[in-house]
Amino acid sequence: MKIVSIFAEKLYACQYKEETHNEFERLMYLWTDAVYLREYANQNGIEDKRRFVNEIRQDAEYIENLMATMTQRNQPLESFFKPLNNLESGVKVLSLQKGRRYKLRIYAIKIDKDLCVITGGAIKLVFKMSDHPDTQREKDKLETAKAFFKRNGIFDNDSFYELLNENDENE
Amino acid sequence: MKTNREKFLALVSEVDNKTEEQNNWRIANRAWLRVSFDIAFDILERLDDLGWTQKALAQKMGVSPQYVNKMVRGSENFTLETLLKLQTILDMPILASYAKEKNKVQFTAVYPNNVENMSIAAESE
Repeated sequence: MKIVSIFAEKLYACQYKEETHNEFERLMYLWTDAVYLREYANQNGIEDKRRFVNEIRQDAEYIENLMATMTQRNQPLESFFKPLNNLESGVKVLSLQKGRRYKLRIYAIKIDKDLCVITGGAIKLVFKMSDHPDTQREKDKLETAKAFFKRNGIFDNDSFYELLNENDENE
Repeated sequence: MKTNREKFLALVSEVDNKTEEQNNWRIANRAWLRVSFDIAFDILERLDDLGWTQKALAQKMGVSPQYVNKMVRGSENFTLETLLKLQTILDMPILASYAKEKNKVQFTAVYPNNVENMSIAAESE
């Protein structure tokens, strides 16, 4: 896995070994791909396929605009990315994040204030991520990426301070 | 001690300007991309109705299956030649000329002895 800077050196994206594009690009290709969207509608029992594919494409356009605006006006990433867990509060460095636009989700890990790494994204038709294989896969990707950052010395705040406290107690 | 941000930046392999360029390109070309997407969706629906594969369409059009695959994804900047070919082979409306051609056929059926005059009248409407 590579991590590439994609927007204004504050928004990054994973690029997985088997993929030719980073995750943001891959999602934008999928969400504007008539073949993929029509197949997705067929596989998920969506009756009005035309309406569905047009809605997804329009929402993808909204995200394209948003990324351009955030870059040009240097708006904080927090205006789009929110904690995956709606109940999360306080500062958590390796917080799992989601950016949403109706059925579309972009998943990311927040490294620091105004600094995120996109790990993937999906069309979300279900309430829980574990209720659909696509969103479950994205949940797994989030966890894998988080583990990767931890392995590379990027700790979440809690563990970091916990470790410091343990050391203090041992001294 | 390094901050989280510094440790993270040491992991990043490259700056990918292509993504931002591609994003801006899609915004700048949105008008025709939307039309292309609509045409792609119509082609896919029509292929299903006819029970044709993309490969069969490629053979009838005299193009490669890879090109048809590109057309149906919804980001192909079609030429008039290709659109006319698709319209004729799939017998589906894409260009305004489809309705004109259909009108001609109807006039031919109703007024077989005055085809030329009726066709001209239809085109001038």
